[in-house]
Amino acid sequence: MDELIRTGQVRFEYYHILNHGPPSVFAALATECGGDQGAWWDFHDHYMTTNDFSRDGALRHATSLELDTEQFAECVDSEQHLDFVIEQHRASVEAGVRRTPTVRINGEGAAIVAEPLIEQAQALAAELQAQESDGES
Amino acid sequence: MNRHRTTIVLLGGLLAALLLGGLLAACSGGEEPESPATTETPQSTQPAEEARVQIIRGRATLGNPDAPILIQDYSDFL
Repeated sequence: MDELIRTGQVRFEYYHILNHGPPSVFAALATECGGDQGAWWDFHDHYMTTNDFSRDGALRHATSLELDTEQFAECVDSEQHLDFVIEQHRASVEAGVRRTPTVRINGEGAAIVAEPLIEQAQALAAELQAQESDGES
Repeated sequence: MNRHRTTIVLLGGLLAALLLGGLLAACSGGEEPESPATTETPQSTQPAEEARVQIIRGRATLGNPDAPILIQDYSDFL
């Protein structure tokens, strides 16, 4: 997948889904607060590999990334991005997202696991390349 | 007599050279010699090369905004 993104064939977008109540909301908020300081993907990757969804855990991670922890704590405690993450969840559900992870490729798709996703993206990339080659010849 | 004088002049010159050498060494403060400019060139171009192959990481997005394939991941961290 990295290769497809690196070569400019694929763009990847992440959307917060809040199916598991307060821990889901907190992780989404902490990620957005990390994003305010340029660490969105650091928090995304962190929450993909941890089971710690506590405030202390988030602050520890912010500290390890050498973020401004005072600003980060204020952002999290005031739920600064709450409206944004709730709206993203609501709009996604309205658009038909029911389960996670749901992955769409060029607007189409359903709940699928990572491996077929890569295969689908690779197949689509190959198809587009073939179309480009046909257009050039 | 002349020979004795020549010896004194030579010894004086040698002593002056030694003193000058010692003075120059003291002034240099034992600093490392400067690296040749050619060794710095690869370091200065390295970030540009890395940037070229790095994935464009935006907030919640990865990759070229104009990519022909858009993958949207709707996920919960839990």
